[in-house]
Amino acid sequence: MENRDSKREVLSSLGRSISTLLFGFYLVFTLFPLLRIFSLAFQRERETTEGFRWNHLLPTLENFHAMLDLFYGLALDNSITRVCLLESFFHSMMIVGAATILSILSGLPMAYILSRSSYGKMERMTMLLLILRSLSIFMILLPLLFIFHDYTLLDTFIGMVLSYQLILLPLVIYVMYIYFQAISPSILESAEVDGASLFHRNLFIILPMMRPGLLLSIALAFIVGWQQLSIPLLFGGERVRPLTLAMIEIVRYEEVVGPMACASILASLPIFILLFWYLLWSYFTNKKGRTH
Amino acid sequence: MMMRHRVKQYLLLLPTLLLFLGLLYTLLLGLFYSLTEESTLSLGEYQYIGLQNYVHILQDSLFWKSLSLTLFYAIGATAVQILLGFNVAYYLHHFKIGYMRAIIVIPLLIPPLVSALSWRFILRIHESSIMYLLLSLMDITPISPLEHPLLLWPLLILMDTWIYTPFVILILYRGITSIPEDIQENSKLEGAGDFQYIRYTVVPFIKRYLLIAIAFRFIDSLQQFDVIYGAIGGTETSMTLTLHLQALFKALYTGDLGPAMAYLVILSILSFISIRLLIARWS
Repeated sequence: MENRDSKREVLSSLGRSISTLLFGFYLVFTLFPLLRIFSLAFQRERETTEGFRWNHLLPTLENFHAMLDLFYGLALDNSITRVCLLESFFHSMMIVGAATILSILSGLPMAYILSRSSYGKMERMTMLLLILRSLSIFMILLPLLFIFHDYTLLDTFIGMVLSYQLILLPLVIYVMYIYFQAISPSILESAEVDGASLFHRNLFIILPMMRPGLLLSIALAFIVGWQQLSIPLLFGGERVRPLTLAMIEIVRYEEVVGPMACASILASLPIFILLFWYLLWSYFTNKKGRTH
Repeated sequence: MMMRHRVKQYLLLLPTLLLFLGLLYTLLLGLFYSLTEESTLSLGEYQYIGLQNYVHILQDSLFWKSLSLTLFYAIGATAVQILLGFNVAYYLHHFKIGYMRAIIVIPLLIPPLVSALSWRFILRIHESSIMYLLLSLMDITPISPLEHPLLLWPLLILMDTWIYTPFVILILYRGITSIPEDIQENSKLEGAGDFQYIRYTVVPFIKRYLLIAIAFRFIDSLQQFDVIYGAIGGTETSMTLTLHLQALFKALYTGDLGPAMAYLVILSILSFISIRLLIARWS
């Protein structure tokens, strides 16, 4: 008996140390590429013949200047195009911002009605989302390419914002649906009994209760939209060029590591600002909830 | 009054319903294209050829090679991510360091294309590095490991793991924290060791979370596009790629829209079947 116990203890401690090792390894594995990209971005360009000098170790902004001078990219049809990363950054901002607002506005009523109808059950919704995701995105985008071509929607803001809805709308509806379900119907009933009109009920009861869900779906829609590559790749071009498309076009043309590391930082920046804002917001609302 | 209410409801739903109708239309159009000899080069002059595209594909050895690569990538990535993710999530819960999720989640937020490109820069063998010198001394032409057909796929799984393990961690952490405290204490009191506790208490309890994580990760990696496209530098290569990229390159570069759509239909059916199999284990 004692023997068995001690054996179990040895096994258990072995398991724990393996688990700790794996965790440590995972942390290093997660952080290493991030640090490496930062070091590549702030590193000085160095000639191999020049030899070692101490000032090579100092961080520099040279690469950020060089990033703004990247002007050429290779389009899908192997023609050379003019690319400007900063311009693309603003294009991305405009497209993703507009697509997020549109998806929230059109998804809100749908999510509300689904949460109140007998059809909307949590598990069924999850399955629907999974089934929608199991469709390959290009299966929709390739035919859409020809439809857009016929209506001259290719390479326009409107076409881009519309096609982003394909990805954002299901997501936004699903997230808001979860939050709508958490609002119990008895609250809405009591508001109606007290004489609130539909408009008042929506504005003063549902909307404040939905605020966390709304903010979360805005943040998620923005992040997912910002990460998108396949839609810009097919529908973008000379006039509308989101950042992801611009980056891949530059890499196709020539691989300049330092400036492109800077571009990677630029492309991740808005998401981190958004995350920071969301964390701050949730921290302060939680704090308020605790003190009152 | 009731009637007007209803009409208003449907008016509110109109934009979303229109979008879903449009989606359905493009989907059917895509299915139809897969049955024709449509080419992107001469649009509109298609010929209905029935299931011939599918027959040709199934006889093509390239398809089977691509399919096995796709499955290797998807199964490998999902298995590694679930095991690693479970370990990290359990560790975070066990030592009560859940706040570390704020660091762990970072790779998930960076656009996958940017992550893939960053990995590409990191893995590049620089001309002034020791690796370059060693390889050239051994008479091996130093190329990026991503251009080597045998090294490419394990490295891609590594990148996929770097990007998407946080997703698994977040879901499983939520599942593990939802286990009620008295159940945790009970199993400890009954004398369950760590392994028994995980095997008989934690895993059955978070089965649904596990299934959701596996389902999302598996279909996402079956259809992974951004990571692979970024890692190969966004150009055509001579290497065999996964079904998704193979289909896109067929449609864009050789102009075979019909066969490309057939590839995509097969891929979607594959994802759908795997989802159904996973959902059957739901209850």
